[in-house]
Amino acid sequence: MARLVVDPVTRIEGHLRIEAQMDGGKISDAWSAGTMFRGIELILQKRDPREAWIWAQRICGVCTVVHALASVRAVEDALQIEVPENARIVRNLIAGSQLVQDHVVHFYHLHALDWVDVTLALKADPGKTSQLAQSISNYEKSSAVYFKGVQDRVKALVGSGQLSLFTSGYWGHPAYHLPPEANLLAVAHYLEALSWQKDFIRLHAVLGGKNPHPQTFLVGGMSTAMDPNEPFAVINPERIGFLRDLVRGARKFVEQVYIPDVLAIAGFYKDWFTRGEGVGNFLSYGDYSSGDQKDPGTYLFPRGVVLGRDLTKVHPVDTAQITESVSHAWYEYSDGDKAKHPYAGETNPKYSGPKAPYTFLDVDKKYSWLKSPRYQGLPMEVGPLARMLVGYAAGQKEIKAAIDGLLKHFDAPASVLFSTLGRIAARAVESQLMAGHLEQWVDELDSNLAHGKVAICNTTRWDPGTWTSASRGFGWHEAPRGSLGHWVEIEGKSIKNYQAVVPTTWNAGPRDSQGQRGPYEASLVNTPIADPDRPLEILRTIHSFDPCVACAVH
Amino acid sequence: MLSHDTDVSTALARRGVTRRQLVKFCSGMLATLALPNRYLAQVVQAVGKARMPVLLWLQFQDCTGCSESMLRSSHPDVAEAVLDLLSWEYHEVIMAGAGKQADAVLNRVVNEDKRKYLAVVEGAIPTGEGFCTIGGRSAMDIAEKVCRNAAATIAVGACAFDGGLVRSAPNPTGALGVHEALPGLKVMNMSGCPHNPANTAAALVHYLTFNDLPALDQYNRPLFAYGRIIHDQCERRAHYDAGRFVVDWGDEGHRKGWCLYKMGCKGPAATFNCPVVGWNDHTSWPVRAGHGCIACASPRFWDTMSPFYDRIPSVPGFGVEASAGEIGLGLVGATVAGVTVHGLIKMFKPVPKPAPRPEPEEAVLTGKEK
Amino acid sequence: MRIELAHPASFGPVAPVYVWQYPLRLVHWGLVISIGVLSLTGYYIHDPFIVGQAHRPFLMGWFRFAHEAFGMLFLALFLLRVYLFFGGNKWEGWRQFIPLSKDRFREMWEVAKFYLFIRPTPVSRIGHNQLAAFSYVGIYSLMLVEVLTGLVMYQRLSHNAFLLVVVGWIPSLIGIQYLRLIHFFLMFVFIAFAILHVHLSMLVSRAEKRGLMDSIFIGYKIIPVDEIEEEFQKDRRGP
Ligand code: HEM
Ligand code: HEM
Ligand code: NFV
Ligand code: SF4
Ligand code: SF4
Ligand code: F3S
Ligand SMILES: [Mg+2]
Repeated sequence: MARLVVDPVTRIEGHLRIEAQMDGGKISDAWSAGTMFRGIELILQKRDPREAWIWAQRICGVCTVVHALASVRAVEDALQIEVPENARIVRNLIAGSQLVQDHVVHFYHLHALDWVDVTLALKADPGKTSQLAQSISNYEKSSAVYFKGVQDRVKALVGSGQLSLFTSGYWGHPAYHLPPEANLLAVAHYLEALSWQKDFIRLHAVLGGKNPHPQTFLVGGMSTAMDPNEPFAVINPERIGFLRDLVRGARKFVEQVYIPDVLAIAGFYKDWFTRGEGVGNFLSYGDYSSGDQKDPGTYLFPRGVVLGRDLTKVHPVDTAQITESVSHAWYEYSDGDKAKHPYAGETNPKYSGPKAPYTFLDVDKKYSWLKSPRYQGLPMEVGPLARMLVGYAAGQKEIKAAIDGLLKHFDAPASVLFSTLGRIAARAVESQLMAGHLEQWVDELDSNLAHGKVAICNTTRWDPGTWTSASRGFGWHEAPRGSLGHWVEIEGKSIKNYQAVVPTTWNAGPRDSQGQRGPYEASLVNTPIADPDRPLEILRTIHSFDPCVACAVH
Repeated sequence: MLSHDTDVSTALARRGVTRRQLVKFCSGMLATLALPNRYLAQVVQAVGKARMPVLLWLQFQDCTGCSESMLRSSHPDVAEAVLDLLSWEYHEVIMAGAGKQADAVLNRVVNEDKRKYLAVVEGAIPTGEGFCTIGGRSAMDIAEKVCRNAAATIAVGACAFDGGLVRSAPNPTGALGVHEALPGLKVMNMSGCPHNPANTAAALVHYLTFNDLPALDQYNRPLFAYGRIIHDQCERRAHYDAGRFVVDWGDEGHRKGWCLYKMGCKGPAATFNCPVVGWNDHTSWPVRAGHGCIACASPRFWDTMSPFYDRIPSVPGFGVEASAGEIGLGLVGATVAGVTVHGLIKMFKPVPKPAPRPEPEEAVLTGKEK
Repeated sequence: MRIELAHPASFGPVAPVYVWQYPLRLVHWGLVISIGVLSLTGYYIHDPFIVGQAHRPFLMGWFRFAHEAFGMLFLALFLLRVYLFFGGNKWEGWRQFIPLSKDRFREMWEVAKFYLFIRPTPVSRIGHNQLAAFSYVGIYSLMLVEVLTGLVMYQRLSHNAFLLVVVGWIPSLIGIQYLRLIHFFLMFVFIAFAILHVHLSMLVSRAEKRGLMDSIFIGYKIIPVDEIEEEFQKDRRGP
């Protein structure tokens, strides 16, 4: 029985390798491996905790900002710092816009080509495409002329024989089901989204100087000084105006382009509502507070755990129940194989895999740079689906309404959510929710400016002289790909230990000491593969998680 | 050398680009490159080549921030860059193909396009075993094969430039920048964390136009982007000269846009052109957003420019626990104490009194006899 | 002039000897003053303790101007002193500073013994005692380091092409931030040296009673004639 290997898994962040055991046209077992390690947790040791975020931010440049946020929160927790309201709002705005931009880029540029055959766009009738477009959305760019232009561009590309990014796609694969018009529509929006993402994310440049890696976080708040009357203040009425335009544009794009496209495309692939299930346990730390960041009651994304696909019950989250195992990861713990809580966490890399070049990993032993995070010893799926399920089960009004609307649209039971398409849909739903909230945060900043409320950073603990000799803290964030946690231990003026447990570590991690599969591995089992030489189905399910391996391993 | 087919009009037609679009885009490029307008024709011709040069973008020990940064390119628009300007055939983060099919692209281009294609590297290259493999092959192996056969190699970002964050102490993976990992290879470095796509795009166009890299500095970085100190181009410089400094985050000075020197800004040590070209389509740059510069384009900046909130590095051996100032004051304090004690002992332990002796007659000798 | 009693160890007539010619004294006091100014202005550059207001349009500008101006003065004085190592009198000449023979090292130990109260009387020389001389070699070298690091920073600000040739190679060996660190830290070393140096000079001066302290002001020391004789004998014999 053949062993399939997909390496590199592309259209993701980072270096991911999937090995799958084939059994009669289906995957009988699968292994997910991260094949790149940097050691950022080690590099952070002995450094100034106030700047840890600048380093931790470089864990990932795709979900840039999320590690910066988790890092400052961890240090603030250790030093017992409360950040001013404005800082909370600016952070929500920066992270929220990251989430929306990240999700749109994921759908169009990382995921769409699993469902869209670019070459079929040539067969489309621009007129019909225009009708299709207008039937699903009132987005203004929907004329036949517009689609003709896009089609010509694709024609030129294919005609030139230089397909650039599209050179090596699985074009013509039997699993592509979209009619030519839908393909053309998607290609057009692929290009639209490509230029939209760079325009929208200027929001990070305004509030952070640049993107990727905005540079305005501070332990205690943000460096985005606010003043209603100063032209050189980072946040002033004029900048507020610009921010408002940007977030309105984002909302429009999500509502008029992203959502309709997801619904339309999903409609042609309903069979994927029953594939790629995963482990069935879902975790969300919760985030996006409207008040006290420490109080989960104030969160837009509720906190909780759903076990065994049971949506009737939301369990509380107890972070003391989190452990990481390295029994199948290329690390060694000083005291054997026992899984460790991040506060006791260790990062001692020890590669024991095959010597490159190699054809297969030794999957019975250690086979990945990802550790295996577990909650109460169980593998957990995190991410948009987990958040939406926890919110749905917890009865969070907005989420419940949105999910019910979605299920009604496909008139399907909630069980379809535990699937490849379920993840895609949940991501779209959450993007719409978030896009709807961004402007509210801009308004809050605006009114604080108007009322002269300009506090942006709490500097009472800026001077290390004010710190206790030893402290430790936990900082979390609901990042685009899921629940992110940073654990920091501070001694004197410097970092003693730093541990990050990251969304993709949860989802893409290898088996644990009990041999329990991680979510990626579980989700691939039983997936039928039409053409083992072009395992498009593997990409569909893996991409539905939106992998980020630089995050996962760090 | 890249092959030049200069039948512009047909080329454009085939690529669905109107001549006006092209000329507009090219004059934008001239600006970034600080080239006089007489080069326009040449640029147009190069950019309009019938056969687009192939580009292979490799990712090793990276965070993909440099790829994302490239996706933020506005002049040329990212779509123009990846579809109209170059044939962007390998770039893991956005290319269509995966696994075998992706690997096949590398092999095909390296074999069929030898010395004609451009290689871009993002991320550091580990010397330790197993720290970065792709398709079962080591990063070093792939870099050797792809870069050594390229017409030119461009290292984007701090990681590819000199190892960046990955290489900073204690460098757990033995990471290196491209020019160190592949000794003797001619590399153009676009340092920065990430690189600024405005500069990289300009450098690419320069290469396509003149078949040659722009003028480089001692670190093989294009002078047009890395030739000047941030501090000398900074909009807050007048405040620096006037001694108007931010002393506390969010204070009056901070709200008024005063100088961030006292908050650790490394502008005086940093070479890059952020204040001039800005980021994200000229929207802003870190100092304008109220935070100090960390000199992200400077050699080994993670280790040499940190701690980022102090003006100067911590004293080797002391880490962030004691600053040079504290140690210096300690030294002076110790001297004062020592001297005082020494003086006191002296008082209780006087030198023997000289015995009385006759007054000498007037001096008979002076130093002048010599 | 009033002549102090010479030390009991040396009976017989004494004579004033012109040990420190005025160029050397100029260098000495020039350095003392510029180090004072450079430390003050330099410290401000390091940590601007006065935050400027609207009515102080060019505060940092002035501090940096003063620092760079006195920096150049410092450089000039330093070069003058280097000249004096060869063009000065025998007590200023370089031979006095480099311990070339065993007994010079022995002398250093003798001086140390006096500072450590093991030996009741100081070691008296017409010029510097060997330990002092050696410490001056040290301090002059550090001055050279300060000048070089300073010039590197100055070059980066002035973009001076000539200086680029002179010191341009330095930053590629040691990063600019570490040059700053060295430049900054040496300030404290100079201050510490000054304190110790004055203390010891006064100590010796009071003990040997031959006008050591006065000499750096007026140039003369009072030396027993036979000691002068002896020194000339040595010189005739050659080293
Ligand atoms: C005893 C002599 C000197 C002392 C104590 C001294 C002290 C200092 C200090 C404390 C700084 C600030 C370093 C920092 O934190 O960035 C500084 C900067 C500087 N010094 Fe000196 N310095 C001395 C001699 C010189 C000389 C001889 C020169 C030039 C020939 C010089 C040129 C400079 C320059 C150009 C700067 C940088 C100013 C800036 O960053 O704008 N210094 N000095
Ligand atoms: C930053 C402050 C100072 C420095 C760097 C310094 C440095 C020096 C140096 C290098 C010499 C040797 C002269 C030569 O032959 O080149 C010297 C000699 C001397 N200095 Fe200073 N000096 C400082 C301050 C002072 C002060 C404040 C005094 C007295 C109030 C003083 C008193 C003397 C005396 C008496 C000598 C002759 C000592 C001997 O022959 O060993 N110095 N000093
Ligand atoms: N996994 C992950 Fe991230 C996200 N979202 C981090 O926390 O992508 Ni780079
Ligand atoms: S240079 Fe910076 S942005 Fe680029 S890959 Fe390295 S860490 Fe990421
Ligand atoms: S903010 Fe930084 S770069 Fe700008 S003037 Fe001040 S120190 Fe120089
Ligand atoms: S941090 Fe980097 S982005 Fe520019 S302002 Fe400083 S060089
Ligand atoms: Mg970790």
